[in-house]
Amino acid sequence: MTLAYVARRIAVFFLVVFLAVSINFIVPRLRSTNPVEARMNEFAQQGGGNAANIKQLIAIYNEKFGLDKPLWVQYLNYWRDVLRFDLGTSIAFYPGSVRDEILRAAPWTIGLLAVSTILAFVIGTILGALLAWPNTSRLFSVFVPVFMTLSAIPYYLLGLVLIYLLALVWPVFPTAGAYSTGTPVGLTWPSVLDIGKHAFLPALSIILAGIGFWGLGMRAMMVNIIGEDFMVMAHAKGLLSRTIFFRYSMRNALLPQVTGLTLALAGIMSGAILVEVVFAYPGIGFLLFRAISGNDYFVIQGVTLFVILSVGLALLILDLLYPLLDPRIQTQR
Amino acid sequence: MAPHWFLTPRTIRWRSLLPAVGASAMLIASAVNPASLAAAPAAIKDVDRKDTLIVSGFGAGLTEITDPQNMNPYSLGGLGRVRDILNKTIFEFLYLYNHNTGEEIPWLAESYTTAPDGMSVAVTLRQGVTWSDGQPFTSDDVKYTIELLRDNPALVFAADMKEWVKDVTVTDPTHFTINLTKPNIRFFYFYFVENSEIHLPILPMHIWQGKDPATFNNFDTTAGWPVGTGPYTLVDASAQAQIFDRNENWWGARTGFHALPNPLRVIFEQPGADATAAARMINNEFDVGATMQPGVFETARARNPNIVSWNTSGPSWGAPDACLYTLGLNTRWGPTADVHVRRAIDHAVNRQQLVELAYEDATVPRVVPFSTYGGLAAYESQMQSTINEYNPDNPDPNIVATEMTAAGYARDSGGFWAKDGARLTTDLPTPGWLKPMGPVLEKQLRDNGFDVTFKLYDPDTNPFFDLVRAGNASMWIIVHCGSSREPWGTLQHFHSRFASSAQGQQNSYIWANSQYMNPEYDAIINQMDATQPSPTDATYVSLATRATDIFLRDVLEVTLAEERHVVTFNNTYWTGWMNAQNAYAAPYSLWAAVELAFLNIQPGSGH
Repeated sequence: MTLAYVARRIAVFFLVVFLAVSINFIVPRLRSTNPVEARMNEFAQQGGGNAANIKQLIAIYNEKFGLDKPLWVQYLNYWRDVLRFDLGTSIAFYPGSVRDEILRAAPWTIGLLAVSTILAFVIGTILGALLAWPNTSRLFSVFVPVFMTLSAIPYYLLGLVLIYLLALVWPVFPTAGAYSTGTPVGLTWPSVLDIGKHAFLPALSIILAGIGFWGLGMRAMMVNIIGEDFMVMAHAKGLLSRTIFFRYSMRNALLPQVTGLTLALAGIMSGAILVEVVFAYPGIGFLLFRAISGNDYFVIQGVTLFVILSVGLALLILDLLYPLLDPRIQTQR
Repeated sequence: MAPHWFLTPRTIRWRSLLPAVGASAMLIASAVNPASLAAAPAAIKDVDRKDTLIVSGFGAGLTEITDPQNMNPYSLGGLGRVRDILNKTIFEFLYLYNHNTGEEIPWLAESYTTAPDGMSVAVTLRQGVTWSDGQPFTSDDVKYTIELLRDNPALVFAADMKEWVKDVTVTDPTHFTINLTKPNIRFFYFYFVENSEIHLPILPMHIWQGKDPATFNNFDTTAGWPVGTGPYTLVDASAQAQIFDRNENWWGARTGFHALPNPLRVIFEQPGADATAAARMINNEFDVGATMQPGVFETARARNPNIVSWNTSGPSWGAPDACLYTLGLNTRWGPTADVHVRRAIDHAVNRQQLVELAYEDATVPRVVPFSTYGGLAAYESQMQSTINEYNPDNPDPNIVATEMTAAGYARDSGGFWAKDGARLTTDLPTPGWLKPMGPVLEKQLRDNGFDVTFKLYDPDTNPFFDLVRAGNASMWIIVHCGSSREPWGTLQHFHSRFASSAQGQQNSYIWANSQYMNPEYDAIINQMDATQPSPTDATYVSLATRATDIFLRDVLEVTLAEERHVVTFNNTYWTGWMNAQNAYAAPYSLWAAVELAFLNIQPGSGH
């Protein structure tokens, strides 16, 4: 790997970020709805304010949010703020800053989704590999239809089923929330257990749906790998079956899975919107849901910016790590 | 170029990579653990569930904790914050109001008198009221609040106060007069007595003075903020829940006005999705629940008989809310500008069928735009002969044909009404929350020869309102919210003062979209503007009857049915909720008078 390769990848990263951030600015503005006007219409629907009040407030807050300026000025201002990592003021949470709102919600989402994504990946990948492995018990084949079914069910629907079974019929887990209301949150055992208990159902819904996705992908890759010449060679050498399984087949089948995992982990910054809504989980997904409902450009842009940066960075890291993971990948050009 | 040592594949081994990844993961985990970054709840005293009142939002997506640590009632979004929970815990009002009976309930104020010319209102405050920090609540606080709104255009209600309020004259700590810029006999009633979820909270001058009222968050639990007069004080607020503990020094208990509420703590908590909210109600996690669809309510009640609503038997479990399901009609532009077409549409609608199919028979058909609240019923009963004269609830294809023929229409080859070779074709715009009615009305109208297509606006209803308010739609489905105590509140919406200046220009009030222009009608409303309402005042009743007569004669809109929400309460931990038999307040958890329930409820069987 050369410095030129690294420089090229970094340049591509910045180009991707530039384009994505620009699209991120443009897309919300393609809607005909002015976010301040939408907010004020909501106010009017609740019965508040006369027409003069509404018009006056729209004008004042359009100015405060810079929405009265020409689009190109808004665009330049947007870039100026992004470079200073100032994501602006939220419309829905006015006068709260977008950055604070995201930082407030992010830990819950990262904690929930990172753990559930990694668990789904590990379990799904191992089970998928075992399913393709000839020495595995035939009983394992029962997992195939289960995986296929679970991967086809949206995880928020699984969430509702889990609520019914494990919070209503057999009430062992809380139905919603991230912790028991009124209890302090901190790094104490009772608190950690409480948070874990609350995260169990939303995490389980994501894991159950994810296992199928990872498992079926891994099974398909393993089927290809098992037919390769080096596998025959490994058997001919009399290597232990366990060694062949882990070091020859799984390792070689893992690369696309790792790519998928990296992108999935990078994408968790957008939250699991529907799961968080179903479970009233105060994370990024719920924040984004409310921002979209409330036409809050600035929060939508802020969350999307985080996603763009995390996915872009993940891809960059992946590009740089690929040659280390698989020497077959040519990087000398 | 030679490979750099740190990028050489041979230097990377899984054995060395894994610990590095593990260490990184631990670092990330410690960096993002909720305790380090989230707005974590502080340590607060333990209160048993049985001593806690837990209130969910009114409905998924309707009331959510948008900014848990903003307690400013007048900055952008303030109205939502007030109606969520603050108007039952922190902020109290000069009056509360019982929509069921029309009773005005003096609270922070003892009385008010509107001058006969409608130019001023003299108010007497209750003695002994104090803020939660012990400071006295006085006329100066009221003057400060009203004039703050009048002078700060960035605050909600600023233009209202600017339009109506000249100034506030303080006589002494408990007496003041609001002087108006022009006559308005309903000013005090509208802004300080009835206005349901949009009362004007009075601010403590000693806290707010010197702050920027548009950006002041009014949140600091260590300083005792927000300071209010309510029976609870805020102890914690996070994106998951807001927690209020009973104010043991609440002025009401101290002065003997009202005993302290039984719940030691009130929690306002996000309900989650509709299904989650219902499950939580069944699990007794909420005492005041979200609204439910009738079928969901019946299922939930079957699993937990302690879940109750307004009515004790179905299928109409829900309560009125001063709004009517309505088929809006454009009386000024397009085909519905012809009164014969409007009459034909009225007789094409089968209200009973609509109620059965769209709302599982959970509401009642209506023909006049008045809710069934007691205050209005006293007027409606006196205009019954006028209503009967027009017999609007009469689906009849023959009347449809007669009226359409009178308008110059004939059926075309497709069986639809057409005039001069052009078929009467129109959309039926419908906001998402009213979608159950869309397909039913579309079918009824099409069956009667109207080429109507149901068009849904969901979840963003702004384009719907843009269309309707500018006079660019011929008909639409909407709720018409207006009167809760007197016919004027709704009837005035057909005055030409609310109409657009031209087609394409937005009208001046969101619920007044008929674009009706009739000097005769305007004159009646002008007289009602200056007349104090009373069902025993012959002049007022006569004016209201004449306006209703024109409403029915000219079919200014088609009133379909009453909007009724299946509000939910849980008797497990607390009983004594308002209901049709014990109607001490309207049951909408958004409304300020629900404070009466907080004060009246008693321990339930779960204790």
